[in-house]
Amino acid sequence: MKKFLWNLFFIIFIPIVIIFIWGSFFLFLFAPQYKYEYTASIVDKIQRSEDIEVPKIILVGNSNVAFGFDSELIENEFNMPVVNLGLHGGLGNAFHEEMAKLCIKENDVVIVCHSSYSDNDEITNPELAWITLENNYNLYKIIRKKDFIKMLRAFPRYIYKGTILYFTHQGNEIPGNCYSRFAFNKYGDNNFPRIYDTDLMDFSLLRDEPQISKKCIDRMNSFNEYCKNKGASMYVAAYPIYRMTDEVIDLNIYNSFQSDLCRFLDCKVISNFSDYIFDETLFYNSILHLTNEGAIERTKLLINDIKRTNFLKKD
Amino acid sequence: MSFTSISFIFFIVAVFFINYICQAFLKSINVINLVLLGSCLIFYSFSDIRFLPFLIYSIGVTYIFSFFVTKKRIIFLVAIILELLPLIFFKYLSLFISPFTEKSISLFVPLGLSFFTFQSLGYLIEIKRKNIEIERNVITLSCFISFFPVISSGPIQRAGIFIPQLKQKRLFDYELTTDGLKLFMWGIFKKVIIADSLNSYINQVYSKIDNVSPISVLFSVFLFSFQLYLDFSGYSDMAVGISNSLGFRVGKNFDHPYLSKSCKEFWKRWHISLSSWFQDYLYIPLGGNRVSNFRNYVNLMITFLISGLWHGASITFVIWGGIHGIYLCLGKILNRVNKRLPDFIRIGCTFVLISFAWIFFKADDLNTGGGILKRLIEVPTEIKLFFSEYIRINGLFGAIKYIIAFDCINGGTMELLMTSLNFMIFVIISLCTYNNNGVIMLREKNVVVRWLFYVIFVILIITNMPLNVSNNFAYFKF
Repeated sequence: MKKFLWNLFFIIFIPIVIIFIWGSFFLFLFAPQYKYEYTASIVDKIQRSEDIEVPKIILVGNSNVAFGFDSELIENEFNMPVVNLGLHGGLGNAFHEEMAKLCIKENDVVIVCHSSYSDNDEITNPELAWITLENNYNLYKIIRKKDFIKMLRAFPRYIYKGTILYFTHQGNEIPGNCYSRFAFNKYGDNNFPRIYDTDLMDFSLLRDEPQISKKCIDRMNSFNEYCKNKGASMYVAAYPIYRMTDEVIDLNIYNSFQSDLCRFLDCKVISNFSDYIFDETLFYNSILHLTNEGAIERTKLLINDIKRTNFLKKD
Repeated sequence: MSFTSISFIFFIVAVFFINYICQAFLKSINVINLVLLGSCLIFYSFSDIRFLPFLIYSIGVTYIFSFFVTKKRIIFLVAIILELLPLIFFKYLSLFISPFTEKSISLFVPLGLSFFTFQSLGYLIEIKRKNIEIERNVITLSCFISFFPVISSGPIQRAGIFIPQLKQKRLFDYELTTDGLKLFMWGIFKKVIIADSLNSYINQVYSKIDNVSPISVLFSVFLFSFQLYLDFSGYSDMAVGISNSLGFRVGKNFDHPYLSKSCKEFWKRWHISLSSWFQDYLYIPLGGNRVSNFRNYVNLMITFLISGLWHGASITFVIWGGIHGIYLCLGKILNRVNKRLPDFIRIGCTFVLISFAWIFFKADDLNTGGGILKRLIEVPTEIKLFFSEYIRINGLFGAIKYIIAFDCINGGTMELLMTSLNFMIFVIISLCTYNNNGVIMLREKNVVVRWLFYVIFVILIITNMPLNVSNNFAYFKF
């Protein structure tokens, strides 16, 4: 039995040590392998926010933000620089908020546009998180203690794939579509030419009835607290809601969802969610990705929301 | 509680240590078996505690009737009917009621119902035939029926082999335990690393059956054969591995089935415990092959139709069973011709025939199965075009992309590459172990080679392990 237990220990311990050494080699020698992907735009977004010395508007959320705003319009309207931090939804709301924390300075305005308020306060896809962070060690602060185990579990798979990419010279290829790092402008908006095309639509993600989870609300309230402590202010705005041309959406669903959000969140909800119901022709390749035209429409709505609530002047 | 869940890892570690502590410190085998029975019932309750009474019912019926089945034939028949009642109620009720009602009835079947029912039936039949002694100890019998590593999807155990093992002390056996662990890891590799990746690919192709080319459909049909094999044999390897590590010797359930040279041979290599069950308790009592040719064909058809029905109360399973019955009848008629063909052609033809039958096994209904067949009819014309035009224009990589319907599936090149690599590793290891027991082969290698293999294999599993491991096994629904 003793021999068995020792062998069992070594059979687990030796591979873990090898993976650790392999991982270190990978991060220091082979990484990055995804530096032109959509997720790599995190580096440019964070860099822009660091470069801006004056108070700014920070847009936080998943790809509904990345593919849904024309930040230049906002900047021109309010004479305040804008940083669009919108990134892949697979990272999860918690990741997006932690990422925003790296950018927040005094008097900044943080506008959060999550497309789901029922998350479990986790990094949804930790392998994607590794792909996003790669060897940008300064960004590792985004990972919270509670995410360690999930991230650790995804690490071997990430380095395995990365090593294959390295040795097959398939890594660091520039995607020739909207999911390229170069498809983002200086604000962090995706400015790839996006026009309505039914063939491009991917319905793997469908519109759900909006829900709220306590975990999400608690985290957002503590994020609001963080913003306050930093001297910044946080607001919540709506995400684009997909509607098929002949479809009739029950507005009560969104109205009651909005009033619930207002009730539970410590920060102000500045949008009427029902205003953000857009026709399918304004969507590009997912029910959260707007076309260039759709992004302008949505930006105008957000500008109106900001003006209506008047918080920029007040602050 | 699935073998691939985190909770099971904690459970099995606890059971492993408790089992050997009991073996070392307790003298009474009854108490040791009582502890084992406790762990079996805990395992079963984790699936759904509401179904525990059905397991206890089966144990009760088997125990009580085992004393009387030899006395009168009618008692034996009553015992069989009572054993089959839960199975009929949960699996076949809809079949009887649906013609009279418009509402579809579907009940959630208790975990492993078909498996423990067959195990109990086998025990009663063996007693009736006086091949084994009546087990008077209810704890031993309960352990036999509810033994947790095999309860959910087999291998179906034979009382004559398993019960004697329960009656003796199972002291720690280093080789048996480590062999079990190796088999468990091999099962994980087959199920979690390959079968689940193939499953997600196949489901995507099947969901877009009208949008992908007939060649892609054919490719998916062949791939499903492997997916099902890897899923089920992976599970079986895990079950046998866990049994070994607890000190039990359990026979293998699969033996390179896709290297069979005929459909008859296939059934000696696929789901061995169920095939031999049907052979011993249905086919041979019907007369087997010691009757006229015509009667023999009828016996084969009955056996395979019932085998199909055992898998589920659906016409698709009956068709699947029927196709195999026809294969075996034709195999008997064409036996002489078949034997003259080179082995590789026989293996290839058998694989194609088996894959064709799996279409109905996978299909939810006749329409789906028919839809796939319709697409397959277009394959000959498509193949001509593929070789004359497509490869020339798009090159080899373009052709591969076309076959795997690359543009229609999500997942990306890397996932496909990883699955292909792992599949190749599986094929190489399977071919190397065709004539030998892989675990024994490994044991005979020198320590450096052995440890190198273990370490590389564990690293391969860790690096390929998906974050969300599926806890579904193809055979759980049966």
